[in-house]
Amino acid sequence: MSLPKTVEITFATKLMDIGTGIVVLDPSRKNIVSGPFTVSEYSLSAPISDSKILGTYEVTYRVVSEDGHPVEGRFNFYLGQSSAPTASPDRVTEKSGRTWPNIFLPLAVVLALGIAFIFRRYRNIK
Amino acid sequence: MSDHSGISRRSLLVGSGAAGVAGASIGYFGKKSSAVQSMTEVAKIGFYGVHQSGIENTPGLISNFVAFDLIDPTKANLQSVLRLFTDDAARLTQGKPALADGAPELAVNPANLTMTLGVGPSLFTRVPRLPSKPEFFNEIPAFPNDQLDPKWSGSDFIIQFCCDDSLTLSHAVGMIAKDLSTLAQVRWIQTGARSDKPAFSGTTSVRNLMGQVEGSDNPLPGNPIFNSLVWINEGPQWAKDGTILILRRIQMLMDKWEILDRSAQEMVIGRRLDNGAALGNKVENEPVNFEATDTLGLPLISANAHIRLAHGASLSERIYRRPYNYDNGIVDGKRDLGLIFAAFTSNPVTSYLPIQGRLAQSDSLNKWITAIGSSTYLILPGCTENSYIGETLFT
Amino acid sequence: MRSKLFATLALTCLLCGFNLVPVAADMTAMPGAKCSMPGMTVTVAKLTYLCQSKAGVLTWSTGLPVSKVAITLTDGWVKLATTGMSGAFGIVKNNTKNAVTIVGVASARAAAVQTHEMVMKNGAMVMQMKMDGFTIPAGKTLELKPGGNHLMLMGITKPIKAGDYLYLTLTTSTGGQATVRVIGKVFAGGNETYDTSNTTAMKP
Repeated sequence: MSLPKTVEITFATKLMDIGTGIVVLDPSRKNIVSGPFTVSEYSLSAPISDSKILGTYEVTYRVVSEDGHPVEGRFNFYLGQSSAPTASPDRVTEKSGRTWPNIFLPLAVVLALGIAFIFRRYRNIK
Repeated sequence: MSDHSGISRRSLLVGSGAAGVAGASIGYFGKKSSAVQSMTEVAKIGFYGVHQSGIENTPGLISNFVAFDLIDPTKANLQSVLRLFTDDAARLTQGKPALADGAPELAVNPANLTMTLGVGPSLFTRVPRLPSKPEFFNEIPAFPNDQLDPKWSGSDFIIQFCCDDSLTLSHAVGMIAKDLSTLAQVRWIQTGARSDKPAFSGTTSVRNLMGQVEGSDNPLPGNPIFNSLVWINEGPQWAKDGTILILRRIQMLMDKWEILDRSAQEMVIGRRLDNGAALGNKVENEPVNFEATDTLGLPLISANAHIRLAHGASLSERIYRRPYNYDNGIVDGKRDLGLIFAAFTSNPVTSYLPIQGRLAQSDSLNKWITAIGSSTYLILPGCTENSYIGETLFT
Repeated sequence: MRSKLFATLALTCLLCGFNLVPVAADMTAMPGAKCSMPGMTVTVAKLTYLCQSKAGVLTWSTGLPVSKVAITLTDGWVKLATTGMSGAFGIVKNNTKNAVTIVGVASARAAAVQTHEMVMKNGAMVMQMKMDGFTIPAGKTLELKPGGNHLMLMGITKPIKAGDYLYLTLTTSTGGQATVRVIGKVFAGGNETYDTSNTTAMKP
C-alpha cells in the first residue's frame, strides 16, 4: 500500500487564490505536503510525499470562493485502516461567520494515483 | 531638512489624534487668542539642507506630482529650470511670494508646503554633455500586469508638491508652471490626497481608498537604517544625498474588491483591516511571523499574501513609501480611483525591483489593482542658500 | 493726448529717438564730450563716466574714481525680453552710513540701463527717466517694482531668457560701485506707458 502523489479537492463553485492553505497530516501528525499547492478553476491540489505509515490522514484546507467567502474544512482518509482520531474536526470554521450554503461543500476529494487506500469519509462541519 | 519651524505635525497627530495645521501652530505659538493672530501662525518646512524636503517630513495632506519635459533640451535650459525652481521653492515654502508673483497674497500661508525636484532617466539621453547617471538609475521596466498609459508615465523631470492647503498648493504649482513656461511643458499632473488622521490611534500610517493601512513597517525617517535605505551614497558624486523616487499610478477596481468578505480582504494583504496588525499579530509594527498558523494548522499569511511577497529577502531590500490617494470621480460609469504609489530608495535595483518582481508575479492583490502609470526620478540632493538644487550637475 | 500717453513701449522707443547702438564716441568717453544714451556708464582705467543730461545736452560726466560701495540688491529679477527694453526690479539696500545716489547702472546685456520712475501725468501713471538717479538714505531700502521705481534696460544685446542670471553694476554719484544679480522671470505685467515729453533732453 502507498499514498497517492497528490491530494485534490474539487468544489461546486469557482475559487479565487486568496488565503489558500492546505495541510495534510500523516498519522504521526507530520505535514506531508511536499510542494506548492495549485488552485485551478474549481479545485485545490497539493503534492504530498510518500508515507508508509498506516492509519488516519487528516486534510485541512482553506479556500475562498469566487464570490468572496473564505471557507476552511477538514476531512480524513486512511491508509490500511483507521487509527484513533487525533484531532476533532469539529473546529472547522467558516471565516465569514455566516451560515454557509451547502453548495460550497467540497464535491469530491480525489486522491490521485491511490492504490490501496480506503476513503472513509469526509466532513465539512460549519 | 525636516526641521519643522513649528512643532512636528506627526507628533501631534499621533499624540492627540487631533488633526492639521491649526494643531501644529498651537504648540509653536502658544494659545490661540484671536483670529488676527491665526493669520500669522504658520506651519512651514525648511527648504535648504543636505537633502531636499518633501521626503523625510510628514507628507502634506494634498499633493501634485507635476511632470515636465524640456522644450529645448540643453544644459543651459536645464540650469535655468533648476535656478528658477530653487528660487521659487525657497520662497514659497517659507510663506513668501515668488519673485514676479502675480498673486502674492496666495503665498502667505505655507501650510507645510514642500517642493521637491527629480530628474528622469530621459534627461540624460536628451540633454547633451550631462554627467552620467548612476548605473542603478533607469526607467522601471513594465511588469507583467501593468497597463501603462503614456499620459501618466515618464518625463524629463518632476516636481512633487505637498501641502496642507489647497489654495497654497494651487498657487505654488501655477507659479512654477508660469516660470518654467518658456523652458518646459507639463506632460501630466497627478493630484493626490491623504487623510489628515492616522489610520488608527498610535500610528503614522494612513488608509488608502480600499480601506487598507498604508505605511506599516516603513523605515522611520532620521534613523541610520532609513538613511542607508533612502539616501544615495554610491555612484557619481553629484547624486550623493539624493534619492530615487518610484512613482506608480495604481488603479483600484473597487466594485470587484467589495465582493470579498472582510476576512478575505484581510487574507489578500495578510493584515487586519482595523489595526493593521499582520494576521496572527496583535499590533501593526510587530515583526511578522510568516510561519504563524491558525488553530487548524493552516498558514495565517498565505503564500501569495501581499505582505509576504513585499517583505524583503534582506535588510537592504526595503523602500520608504510615501503614497497618496487619487480619486478622479466617475469615468464611464465606474469610480476612477487608486493610489499614487510614491516610494523612495537609494538603489531600486537591490530594493524595489526584486520586491515588485515578486508582487507582479504572484500578489493576490493584483486582481484588484492595475498599474496604469510608472515613472522614476532621481531626486537631486539638497542645497545651501548660496547654491541651487542640481548645481552639482554643473560642477 | 491719451492716445499718445498709452503708446506702447516699442512705439515710444521710436519716438524718443535713441540710437540704440552706441556711437563710437561713446566708447571713448571724454568728460564734456557728447554722448547718445542717457544712463550709459563706461568704466575706463578705474574711472567711471556717466552719460548725463546737462542743460539739455547729453554729455559724459567727469571720471568718478571706482570704489566698492555697500549696496545690495535682494529679490532681484528682470522681465524676459528678446530685443529692445526690459525692466529690472528688486530691493536695493544702502548699507552705508551716508545717503547714496545711484546715478548710473550698467549691464553687459544692455546698451544702457536707466533709472526710471512712475509719475502721474494728465491722470495716468507714466514712466520717465529719473535724471537725478535714486537717492537712498543711510541704512534704508528702495523698492524697485513694476508700476513703481525700476531699472530700465535699453538696447538688449542678447535675449533675456527665463532663469538667466544678469549682473548689473550700480554706480553712485561718488563713483562707488556694487554688482548685483537679477534672474530672468516670465511676467506679463509692467507694461507702463512711457511719457515722451521728457525725452527731448535726451536727444543727442
